[in-house]
Amino acid sequence: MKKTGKKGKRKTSLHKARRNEELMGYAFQLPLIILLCIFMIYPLFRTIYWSFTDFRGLGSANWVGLKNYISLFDDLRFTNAFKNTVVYSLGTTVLSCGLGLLLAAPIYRKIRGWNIYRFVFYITPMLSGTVVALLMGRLFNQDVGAINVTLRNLGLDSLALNWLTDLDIVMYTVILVSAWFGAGGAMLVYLSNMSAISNDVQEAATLDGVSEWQRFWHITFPIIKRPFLVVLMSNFIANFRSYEMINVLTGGGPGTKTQVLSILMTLTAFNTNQYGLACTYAVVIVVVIAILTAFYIKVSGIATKRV
Amino acid sequence: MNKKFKLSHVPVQIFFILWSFMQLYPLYFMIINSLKTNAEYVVDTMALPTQPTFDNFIYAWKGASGDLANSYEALTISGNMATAFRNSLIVTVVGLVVLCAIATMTGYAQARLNFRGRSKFYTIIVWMLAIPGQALLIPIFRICAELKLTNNLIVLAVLYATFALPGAAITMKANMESIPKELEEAAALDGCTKWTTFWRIVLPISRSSIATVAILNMNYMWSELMFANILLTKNEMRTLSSALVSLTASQFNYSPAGLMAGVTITSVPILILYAFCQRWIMGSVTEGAVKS
Repeated sequence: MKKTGKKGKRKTSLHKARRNEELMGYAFQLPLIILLCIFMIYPLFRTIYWSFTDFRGLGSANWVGLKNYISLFDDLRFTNAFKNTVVYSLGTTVLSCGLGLLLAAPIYRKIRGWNIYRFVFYITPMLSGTVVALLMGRLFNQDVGAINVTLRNLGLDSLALNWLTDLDIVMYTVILVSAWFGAGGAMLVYLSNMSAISNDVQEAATLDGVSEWQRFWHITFPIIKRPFLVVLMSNFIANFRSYEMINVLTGGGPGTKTQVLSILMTLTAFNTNQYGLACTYAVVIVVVIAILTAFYIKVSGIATKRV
Repeated sequence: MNKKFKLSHVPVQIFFILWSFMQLYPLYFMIINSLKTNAEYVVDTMALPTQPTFDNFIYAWKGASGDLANSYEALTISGNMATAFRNSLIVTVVGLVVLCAIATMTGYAQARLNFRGRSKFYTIIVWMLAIPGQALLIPIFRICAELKLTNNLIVLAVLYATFALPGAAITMKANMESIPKELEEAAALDGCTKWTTFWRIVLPISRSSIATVAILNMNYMWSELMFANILLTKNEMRTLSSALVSLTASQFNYSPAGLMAGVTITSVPILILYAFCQRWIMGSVTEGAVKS
């Protein structure tokens, strides 16, 4: 009798502990869920809803069905911005990830002064896009900018281009600046993945008289191939939604030559009050980013990884 | 390993020295020009200042007063970086506190607590990574305008924290899972409830992961532009990025040297932090990269 009583009591206390744990789990999850609902999920649904209306900021939003979406196909501003966004994100991603690898490989091999280089190369990524764009805007100024002044002093007048005002060049300038800005971050990610390669493998390679290049190509690169893909994808996603850098550097100009989707969206909403249409642009951004992120989640294995 | 001098390293060294120069020159440019007068800036942006002056900083920091208020120099730098600095500081601190608190709770719940629907919640969190902030800009602006919440720094801070939450929660979960379970089991045997275990054992151990989350998001909150620009319309509520951009907005009101002072004021705290906590920051970035 006594024994079973004790056992029963224990069972209920265990049960109670289990229930407490469950309650605590929900309680700990609650703030996150509340914030996500208020600031992400609810606004997202409102964006989607408005994209089906002709909402202009004042008065009521009239349902127009797919009209905004159909209009995208012959909306020159949209096609231009979409093309610019793809060109910009592709160019910037490839260039900054490539540069990142060029910077990371020698540092990983502990080239002379590697720790100083590593410190210096990560200075720019510490600065904000706005600051970098303001500085680079001054340096690339066609008349008094340091770059053109230097080129002219060297007698290379033909290379002193109108970096930020020439329609044919401005996109390259923007990509160049963004890649320069992003290379340090990519470098650091590669370094962290490379440092996971065991020293034995490297030393065995040294003993076998493998050349530096062969070592990189046959040992280091295969190991960082997947991280490389992950960096490439997360970079592309970040560049696809980029706003600060281009907005401050060129404001989308000259004309609409460097206008990307996020700039077009804010202009459409806040300058011409076409909220409905702007929300349609926003939905396009969401769809593209969501597809890319789905791939990213698959490749990086965040959702399933158990550490 | 082998620190011997090698001929094959020469091109790499040349490339690295060039790249270092490209990294450092903009900072040098920023500092020398912030010490010039506008007249001097226009003549030559590359020369050193003939008579270094801190006036740009003073005007940019405080705004001009008295006799100065009528001078050309002062009129061109009407920015009030001191207020912007304070605002950015408020947004960053509040945002990071909210972010770290909620990310820690979520991470612990996901890593250690058993409750129904746990993995479903996690799937939702991961999928939130797919929603870009700018897609939410328009409704958030409208909602804030309707509720009279524009020009509210706390709202902006909580907004930043929310956008950063999915990533931070994922990092925290991964970190909490790597804490040895034995510690908590020992505590449980000593009669600690889950709550006291969390408070007394898990939190102190997780300090470095919390710091990681803070470091990874600090820069974003310090210098975000898009939402700050749209949600903060009053001059005295602007954060640093939006104040800087507003300095360039008007043709008449534009002072290049003053702008460089503003840029310096914005970047120096971050650079000082980087110089002193280099190891820590790099460790955090690395860790964040490996974990996510």
